[in-house]
Amino acid sequence: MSARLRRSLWPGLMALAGVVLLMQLGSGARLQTDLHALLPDGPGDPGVVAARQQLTEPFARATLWLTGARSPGEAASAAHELATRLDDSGLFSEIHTEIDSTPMREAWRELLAWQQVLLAPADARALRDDPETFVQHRLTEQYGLAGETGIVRLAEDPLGLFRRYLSPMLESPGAAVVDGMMIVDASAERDEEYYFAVLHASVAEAAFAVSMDPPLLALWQEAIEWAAQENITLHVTGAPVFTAWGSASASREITLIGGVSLLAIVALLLWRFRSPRPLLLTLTVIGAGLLGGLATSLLVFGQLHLITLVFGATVIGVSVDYAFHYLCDSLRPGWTPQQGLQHVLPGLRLALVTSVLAFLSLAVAPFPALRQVAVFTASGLIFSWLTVVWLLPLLTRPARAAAPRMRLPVRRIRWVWICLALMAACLPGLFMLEARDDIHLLYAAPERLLADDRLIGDLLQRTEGSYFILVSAADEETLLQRQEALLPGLEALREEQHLQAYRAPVQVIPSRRQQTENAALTSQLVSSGLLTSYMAQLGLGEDHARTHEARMSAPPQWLPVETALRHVDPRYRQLWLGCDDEACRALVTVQGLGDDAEPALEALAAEHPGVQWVNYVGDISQGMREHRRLSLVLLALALVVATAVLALLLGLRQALRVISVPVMAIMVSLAIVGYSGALFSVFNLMALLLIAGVGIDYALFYHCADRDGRRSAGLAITMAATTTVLAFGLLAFSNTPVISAFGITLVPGLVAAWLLALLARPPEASGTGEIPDEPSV
Amino acid sequence: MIRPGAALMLVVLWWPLASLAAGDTDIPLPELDAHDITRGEFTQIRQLPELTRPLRSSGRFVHDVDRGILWQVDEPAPSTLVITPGGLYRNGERQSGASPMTTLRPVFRALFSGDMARLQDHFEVTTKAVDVGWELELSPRDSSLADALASITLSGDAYPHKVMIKEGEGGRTELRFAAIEHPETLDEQTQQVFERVGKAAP
Repeated sequence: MSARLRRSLWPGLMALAGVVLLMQLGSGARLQTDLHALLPDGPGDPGVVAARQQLTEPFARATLWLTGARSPGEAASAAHELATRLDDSGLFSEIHTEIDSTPMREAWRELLAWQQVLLAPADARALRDDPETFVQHRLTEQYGLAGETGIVRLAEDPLGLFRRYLSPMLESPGAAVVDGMMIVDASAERDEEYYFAVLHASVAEAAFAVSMDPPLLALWQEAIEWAAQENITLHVTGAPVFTAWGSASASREITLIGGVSLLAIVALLLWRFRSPRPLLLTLTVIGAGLLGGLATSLLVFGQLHLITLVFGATVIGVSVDYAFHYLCDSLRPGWTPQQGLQHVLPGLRLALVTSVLAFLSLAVAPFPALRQVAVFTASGLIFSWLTVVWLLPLLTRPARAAAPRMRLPVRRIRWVWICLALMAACLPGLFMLEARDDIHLLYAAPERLLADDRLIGDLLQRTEGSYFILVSAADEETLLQRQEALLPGLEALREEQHLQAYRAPVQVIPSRRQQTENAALTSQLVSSGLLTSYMAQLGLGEDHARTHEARMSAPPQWLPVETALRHVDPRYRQLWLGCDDEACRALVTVQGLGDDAEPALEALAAEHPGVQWVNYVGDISQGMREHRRLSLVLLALALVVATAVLALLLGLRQALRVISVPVMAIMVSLAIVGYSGALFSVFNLMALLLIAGVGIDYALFYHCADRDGRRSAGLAITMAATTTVLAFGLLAFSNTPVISAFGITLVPGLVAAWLLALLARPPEASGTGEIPDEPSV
Repeated sequence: MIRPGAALMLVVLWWPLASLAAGDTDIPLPELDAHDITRGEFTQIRQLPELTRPLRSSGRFVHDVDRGILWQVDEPAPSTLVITPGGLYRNGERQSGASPMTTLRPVFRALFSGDMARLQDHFEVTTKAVDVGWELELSPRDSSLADALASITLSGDAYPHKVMIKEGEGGRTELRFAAIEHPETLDEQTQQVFERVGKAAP
């Protein structure tokens, strides 16, 4: 390829990448933080996907703010003031304070028209088993403290059957409305009289922008200070707050890690080459890699995951290898740019092929986020590599300094013995590795936010969106009957304290079959005379009694599902997913699970047709476990492929020598993670992939260098290893457990790869000279 | 026993002047003795427009400032109701659903533990002038309670005597207290009742 062509190719490629990046950013590419992107994809159950969306969608933009004080009035007035502050910030599209229950109560009242067929499931059982005792209990209740009061009058519902049917919908966590603000009584939790006012605020689109300093966090901090001054307590939760914190923390970490990495590179280059030119060239190589990686991944995926950005920073670590290798070669006496390329190209070419292969092997895994990382890294590396090969020979000048001589004392020991000794030292550590595949390790959140979230979840009895029972059937009636069949089992689990509460649409929308049975039960109450004698004992007026009897024994009116859905509480309505071509679906949610609840729920689901227990968080953790195993296999595969490629070009003996460097480095790294008891999950394996890629680079650069080039190649890998360790060692201090584990895995592996590459030099006089190669690309 | 008496004397003496100056609302809240534990007997008469005769019941009650209220009906049929900060339990079983009755906890607290000021957290409190003793009218600040609980009237002198609960649609419940005493500790049996519902709470 001619120099003129290269001269025009590089700017063209970069301009193209730049245009693509700008277009993607302009069309609203967003940072993705949804952890479900880490789930394995493939033919996911459409019912499960729809169900999860239904449960979590309302929460995507919702934030909850609680102001607490010793009296409901104080809590309410604090919440009013907070609402003004939130409104003034302009970050929210909607702020709800007042919870007006009037329309809901009116909707419930309308259901009274069907009172004959509406019974609480437990009451239907009691009426079937022992109607006398049931009626006796209702009478006793009328003499209790202040009797029973509620939405309907005693004359309309003397036995309280309808009121008891409504009661799960009335269930709210001790909530009251004071001065137009929803108040939750937290006295039981705090062992003193204490109240929280609840504020719902929906975040506007603008608040989601990725930034190091999200306005939502600043607002939160201000609100905390304000609360401290006002002597009230403040609690916040909601996906947007967590996202804001996550994106701020990731941006900070990327900036810090990237910044320190750059500083290290700057210092090393200035010190080594005593000229700013190599520095600018290296920065160009890194920049090209980042630009290419960003543009390619956005082009392919349309968006970027947070995880991709953090791990994609590894591009820097590998791309400087290429730049250093070429630049260090310029320290050789009598160097010319074309000669330089001739010297390093065999090593560079092999290094690129093996690294891209190693990183692309991630894309084989059925995990969207990891596929992004693979594409980001591989494309970034290609861009950096092309920059080194096309651009650097045009701009590099022979250096003024000379490469220093490297001396390693163990040079005389045979390589095989070094490998065996290392293996012996590492083996126990490998057995001490303890895998933890927990999705929560991915989320870094400050303790205060996590505590707030737990507290609010407990106080408001929020439904967990990550696990539920999915019931499906061919039609609505079967769907309801299947839920009805499930209720006794759920009730038994509740009594055994496996769970605290459950909620199913069928609790307020009986099936037609159950409605028929309910109508029979209520008309039986009339025909047996039980209802009449009860009303007489109560002293209900003659007219009222006769009207009620007539109502309860009239030919029944069936309550259609559509009508019921219009009237019932939204907490039940949202569990009804409706029907599509394939099936009708509904959710049953469970709360307050005990330790052994999951197997029990799974067993319960297995007993019933069309019932499925879904645990999304569990599925993600399962996915992480599978992916960890898969990655190990992929890593081994990548190394085998690399060995095969190298064996074809260098011969088996040399190939094994080169490949033993990354293999040993990986073993050292794993052993140290094992010995130290650090976190081991799928993300450590990504660090191992990086070690594999970098280890092969180091070994090849040194191996492929001719005798004269050894010194400069040694310098190149020393500089590359130093900058990479400096940059990624900092990841160990990340707030996010998995990122910190990434750093802890990486540092020992990189150090080992560097030392081993220098030691693994072939005995004598075997170098690139044997490989026929032209510096043309 | 002298302190509240004296306070009431002041109320009675100052009332005419106060009412001249600023109307009824300026009458200070009565000061009652503070007791951690109160025990007594009650009779309840509940009247509803749709009932031909009032529902009468009687029994015993215990108020513990920390634990809550135990309401034990003996006549005409035995039943127990426990109201704790954690919820409402009828015959040992937790009742789901918001109940206007939880609002009675601060009322009892005011009546038997002398914590009158805290009533204003939950109610708009109007002090009414009466010839003997005092009378307070409470209307709930929680708007969702309005149709179940229109107002509560409390009256008494040195002791609280009567609670009148007006329901939304013309119903009213009258509670009268008698044989009030203030033991130092709860008896074993009552303690157990509170502990049992404590365990039943989620």
